[in-house]
Amino acid sequence: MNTKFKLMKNLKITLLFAFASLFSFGLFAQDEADLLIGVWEPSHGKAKVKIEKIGSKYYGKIVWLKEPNDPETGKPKVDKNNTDESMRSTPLRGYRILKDFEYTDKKTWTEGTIYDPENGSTYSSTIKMKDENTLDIRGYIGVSALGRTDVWKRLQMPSKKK
Amino acid sequence: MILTVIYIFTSCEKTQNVNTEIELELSADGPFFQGGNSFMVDLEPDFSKIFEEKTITSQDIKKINIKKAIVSFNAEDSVNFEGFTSASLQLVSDNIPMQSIAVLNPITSSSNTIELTVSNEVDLTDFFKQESFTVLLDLDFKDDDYKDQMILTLKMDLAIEHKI
Repeated sequence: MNTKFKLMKNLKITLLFAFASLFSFGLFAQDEADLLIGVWEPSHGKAKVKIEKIGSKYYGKIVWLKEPNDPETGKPKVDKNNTDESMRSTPLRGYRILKDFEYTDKKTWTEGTIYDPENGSTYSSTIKMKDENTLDIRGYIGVSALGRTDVWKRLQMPSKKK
Repeated sequence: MILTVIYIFTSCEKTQNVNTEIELELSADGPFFQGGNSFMVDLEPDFSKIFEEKTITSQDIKKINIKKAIVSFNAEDSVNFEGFTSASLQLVSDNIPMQSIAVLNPITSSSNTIELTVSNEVDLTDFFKQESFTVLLDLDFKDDDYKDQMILTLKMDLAIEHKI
């Protein structure tokens, strides 16, 4: 009877430990996925992009432009090269140029797209985190091997004044 | 919900067009800082509320276009759109790519209601075939606003083409 009781107790402890391990692993994976969240600067320095999570996917929107106004109009830049004419008045500041990225593993996010407002083109894209402050963002059409990689650096946004 | 039925017959299969209005409440938690702030709501499509014939399901849908998008603050909130520069409306789903569907830039209205310019090209069918998706409205604030929460009403007029 005592032996049976001890066996049951050990089994419960083992199951509890296994469950806790699985749960912790899930949390760890989620923590890694969320490392992408923050403000980043592409290598050309013309913009700053804030990456955030909506639902289970990651999106990056322009929060700063080196040249915020269109020299032709003098007004804030808009998405004038969008192939959908009805959407060409969308302001570029606030525009989500990174969309639908999903975390896979090993600090890699895939299944996303990157939009180039300078030509209105959308490319398939993957993101790899080289270190906590450096991203390799690869854009391609069709085959990843035929694309181009840009290096983005993490920024610290200045705290908002109250 | 207002229903207007228009009958259209194609050469390949019979379809029908239905116009319907969806009204949603979007909210965002403050504080709100100058620049873009996002208002959201999750939508679970329910075709039984749209169609009189309850046998019509998402599988019968051929096309959904957005015809109108009107955003408004409640009159009792004493908020108008004078303090905002632009608005853009998007749909988000875990299973399909994000889609921009309407925009207003610049906002010149000083009333509590604005009408966005809708996309003529986008087809919303894939979103409405999901169990649920998120409606996301990005509002660009001229200045910081320290409200705890803000609520908006979004009315969308949709044109739905379905098989009969």
